[in-house]
Amino acid sequence: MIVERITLRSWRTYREPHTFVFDERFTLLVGRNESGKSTIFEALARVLFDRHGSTAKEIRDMQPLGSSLGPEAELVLCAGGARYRVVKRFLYKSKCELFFDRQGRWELDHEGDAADDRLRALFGSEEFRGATRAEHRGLAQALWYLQGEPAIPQAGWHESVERGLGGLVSQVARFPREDPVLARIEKEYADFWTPQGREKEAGAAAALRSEIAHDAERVGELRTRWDTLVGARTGLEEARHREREFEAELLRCDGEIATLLQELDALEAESRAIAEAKQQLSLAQEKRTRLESDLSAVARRDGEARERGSDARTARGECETAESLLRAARADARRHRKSWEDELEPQAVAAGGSIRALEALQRLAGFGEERMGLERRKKSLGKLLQELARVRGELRGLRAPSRSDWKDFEGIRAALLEAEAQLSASGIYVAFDLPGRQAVTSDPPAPPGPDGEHLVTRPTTFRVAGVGEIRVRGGGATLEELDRRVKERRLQVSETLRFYGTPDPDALRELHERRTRMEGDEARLDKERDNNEDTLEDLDGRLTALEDRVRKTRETVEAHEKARAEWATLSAERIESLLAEHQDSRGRLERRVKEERELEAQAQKQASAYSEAAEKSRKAQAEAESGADRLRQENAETLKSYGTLDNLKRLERAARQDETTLTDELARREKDYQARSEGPRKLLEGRRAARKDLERKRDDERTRMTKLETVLDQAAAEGLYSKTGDLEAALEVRRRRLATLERRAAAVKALRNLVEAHRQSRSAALAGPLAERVNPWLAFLTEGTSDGLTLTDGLLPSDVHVPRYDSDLPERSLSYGAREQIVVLLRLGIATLLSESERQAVIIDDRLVNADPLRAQRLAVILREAQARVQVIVATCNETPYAGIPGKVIRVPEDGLRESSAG
Amino acid sequence: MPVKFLHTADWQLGMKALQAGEKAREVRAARFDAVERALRLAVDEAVDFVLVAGDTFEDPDVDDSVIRRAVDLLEQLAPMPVFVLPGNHDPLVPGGVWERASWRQAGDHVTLFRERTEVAAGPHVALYPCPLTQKQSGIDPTAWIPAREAGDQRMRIGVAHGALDILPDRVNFPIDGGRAESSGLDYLALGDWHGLHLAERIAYPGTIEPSAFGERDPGHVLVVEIDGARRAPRVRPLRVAGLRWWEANPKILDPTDVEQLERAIASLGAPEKLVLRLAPRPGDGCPEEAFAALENLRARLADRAFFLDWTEPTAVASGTAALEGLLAAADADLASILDGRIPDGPGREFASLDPEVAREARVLLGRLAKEADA
Repeated sequence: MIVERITLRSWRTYREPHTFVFDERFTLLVGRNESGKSTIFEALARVLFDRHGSTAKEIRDMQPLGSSLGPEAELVLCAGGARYRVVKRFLYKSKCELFFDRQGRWELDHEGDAADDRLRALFGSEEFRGATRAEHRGLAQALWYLQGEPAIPQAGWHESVERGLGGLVSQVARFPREDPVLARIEKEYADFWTPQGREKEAGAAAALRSEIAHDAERVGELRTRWDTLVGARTGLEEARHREREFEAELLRCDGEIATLLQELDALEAESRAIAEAKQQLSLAQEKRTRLESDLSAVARRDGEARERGSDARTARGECETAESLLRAARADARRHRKSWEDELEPQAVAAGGSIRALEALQRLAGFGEERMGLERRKKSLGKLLQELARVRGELRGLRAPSRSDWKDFEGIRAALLEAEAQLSASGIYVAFDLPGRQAVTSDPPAPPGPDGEHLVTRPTTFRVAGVGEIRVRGGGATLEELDRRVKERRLQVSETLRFYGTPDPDALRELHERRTRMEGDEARLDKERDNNEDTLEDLDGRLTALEDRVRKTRETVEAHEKARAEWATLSAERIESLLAEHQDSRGRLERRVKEERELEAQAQKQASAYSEAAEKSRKAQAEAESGADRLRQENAETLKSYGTLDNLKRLERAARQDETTLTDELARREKDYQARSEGPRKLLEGRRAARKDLERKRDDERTRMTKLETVLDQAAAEGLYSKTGDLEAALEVRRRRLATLERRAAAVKALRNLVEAHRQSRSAALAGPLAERVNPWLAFLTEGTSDGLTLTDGLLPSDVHVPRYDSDLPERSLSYGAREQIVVLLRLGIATLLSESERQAVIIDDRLVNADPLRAQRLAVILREAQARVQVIVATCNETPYAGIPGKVIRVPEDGLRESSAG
Repeated sequence: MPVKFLHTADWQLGMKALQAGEKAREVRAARFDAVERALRLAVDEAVDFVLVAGDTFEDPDVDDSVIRRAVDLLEQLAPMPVFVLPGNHDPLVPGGVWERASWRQAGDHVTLFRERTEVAAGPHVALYPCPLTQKQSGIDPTAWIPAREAGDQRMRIGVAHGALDILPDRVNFPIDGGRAESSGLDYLALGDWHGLHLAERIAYPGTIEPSAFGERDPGHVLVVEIDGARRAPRVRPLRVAGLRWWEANPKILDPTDVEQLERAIASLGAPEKLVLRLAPRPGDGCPEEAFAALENLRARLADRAFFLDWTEPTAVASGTAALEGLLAAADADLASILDGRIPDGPGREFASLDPEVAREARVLLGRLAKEADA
């Protein structure tokens, strides 16, 4: 495809229509930066690769600033041997119309979306994804090298570039019918495999494999159960076999037992006779036992009766002894009681009365002293109260400064002294030394001090008679204040002295000290009074109580004869001595009383014990006598049926004899019977034991069989056979499906890899001719520094060959400018290859600015060579390097406006 | 006094039928239907008794539900006598089907042959059963049958399960082909072979319902009539099978072969009763029309047949969409691999590709090309 002309309207800076007509071979668009060169290429791309209905931001950005008109472009191009005109408007009243040239006349070919599609197809872009990104522009990705695009496509050439080359390079055929099949192979491949060739984890095969593993595991479990069942069946068969053997053994055993029983039956008569003899012996033993029992009981009871008689006698003796001791103990108790009650206790009471009388006499002597003491304390307290009343009376009549008053006065005086000192230090002293004794007056008055100096504390005018006036200014407010304070303090001092009627502070101090002394006396007297425990009333009450006690004590003394008559006159010492004697006597008597009481209690306790012993012996005697009587009665009852004891003894001897005779007879017969039956019996026992053993073994087998049958029945009941069958069938189906899937997956992988191998082979075949075009240009451009370009399978440069070292240098090691130049060469190579069947347009939008002047010139030579085969459109702001290339130079934008006006 | 009885065998109830894949369960159910039809025939034909000559059940361990259903079916025949012989699939073994509580529910009209002893089936008929007590044996189970005594005018019928020794390699329970003659039997009712086999006095009815591909003429019961001792029995095979199993791998050279295959299938009966295993073998270069017809047939059978096991053809049609470029090269490589040659160029590294995979890949390529063309 080559571009013939383009007209832009309402497109960014092109508000007015601008038309640019391109040369078929070489066109140089020259203009300053921002002149609109790139806008022309942008319009070209958007007309071809953007839908006219698009309202994307990139499209809206194309509107001129402040305009609401739809950007519009008209393009005339040649493609596939035909000439087309495209009119496309975006946004406002968007449209797309495609006309083709029918013998010089434009005929509408497609319009709307169909026209968009047709245009896109011209460059092999498969779907509309916008013109913004180079890889969305189909074949134009390789032919147009616009601003803002990387030198080398990051994601490789678009498929359509390779396809475009494939269709045009003579060595490699291109087949349009391949693509849908290849797409189907890819789709089929993606069903089974990841792009890296690994099986898809979420694929059908993986799912089936997982199901098969699960099923196989379950089948394995069921088969394990089947193994158990097979074992059970084998065990069952063996058990059944053994059970039958045991049954046969049992049958044989039963036959032998029957024979032995027949033999034993023959000895049955003797056996019965022995049984009868045993019966007789048993009766005889019974009789003998009864007689023995009776005889023994009679003898036992007789003995017991005798023992009871003896017990009764012993108890009677014990009873008599206890009664005798009881009487003696009771006499003792009475004696001791008489002793303490009749003798000792009255004596002790009399001694107690004497003691109380003596103690009363002692107390009467003490009462005098107590009364005197009380009366002394009463008198002393009276005096103290009188003194206190006197001091208080004097204090009430005395006008003297208190402690706080004196403290205040002292404070005032101190303040006065301080103010006077300050006044003296701050004041202005004026002295007149006059020849004569002229009168000096002042206003306000400032009388002279003791030394003749006048203290001036404010503006004062001194008049010296006959001399004149002297005005003194000085002091000011401070001196006046000091002076005022001195006067106030003096007034306070004098008023205080006048209040207390004292001439001076010393007299006032004396008065204050006197008051202080009197207050001290009052305090002391108050304290003394408070220290006294009793009041006068208390002391009066205690004296009255003392009199009462004296009276009662006297009554006690009067009540005792001796005290009244003899002891009243005795000395205190004598009374003390007598009191001790009596107290001692009373103590002895009281101890004796206590001893006698204890002895009495002991005697009574003994009497009680003897009484209980006597009673117990009486009771034992009665019981023994009663028991002996009962036993004798029982013996009489027993002997009633035998007559006498001797008769009983005789009968017992006879019974014993009978039993011995029968026992001997039975033993003889049993021995005989044993000798005849022992063999068969032992055999029978042996067989019976053997039978029992066989029965046990057979039952064991039956138990085992029941268990095994239960295992088998359980499996049958739960449908294990069908379950296994179902599962195996499902497993089989899945395995078949998996085999099919795996074969199909392997097939699609093989097919895809095979096709890929061929594709790579073809890419290599494409790269060859391309390199052939590019390599001479590369050698020329680099002056032989590099002479060969190695291309990847994707037709992108990977290395350049450096002949000097005969080695390859990675493309990424080159400078940005060099890489840019190589890519321009590569695009020119692609374009020239493509142009073998149809001329193609190569657009280079100012991408050679990084070339040095020499390389720029050499590139121009290459472009000049290329323009013979392809349409070359170069945008630049510097036309110098391209000066030698024949073609057309368009000044942007002015030529466009002119061309448009001309058209 | 003539006798008329139904001779059947190899019911194989409870069979797993793994070959039928996802239809295995239905195949199992179909065997009961066949039994039901057989027993209805017995009633319709007013036979004197029914003989089941072994393998009533597939295995001694079949589910109780299988036994219960069999017993239920037999109950419908009461009071008509039914004689059942344990076969090699369901031998008389401890804990086997015959000892199950579910089997013991069978009515008095059902007699299980437990012993090798003569059993009377009416005043004029003596049965000589040969029950099996194990799965395998090289001993002829009919060897015990005594010869006819002089003056014995009863009709003597042997009942056994095993393989007639008329074929080679038949070693399990071999039965003397001359047994009827040597033991003076009027008829020897046999089971074991799943295909119908009739000889002069010996017969196999075959399995009542096909159980696998490749069985020869299965699915019958026999109505046997004997007019008297030493008289030739009249045997009528009656088909009771519900399903028909059929497998084929016909060579397909052109569409007429497909038509022929289709006709063969149609001759088998209603498609919904067919269990099919088909592996058509079109040769490489077979015309596209034949492939289309095969695909058409496959689609119809997949829709209508009871069960279809279809192996996809592994050849490429001659009329497949023309392959170009990469695809033609890949196809040529695959063809080389299938011919045992090493491909040239990039295909060389695929020379060791499994031929099965290569064939599948080639078919796939052809199919995708065809789809793309369409």
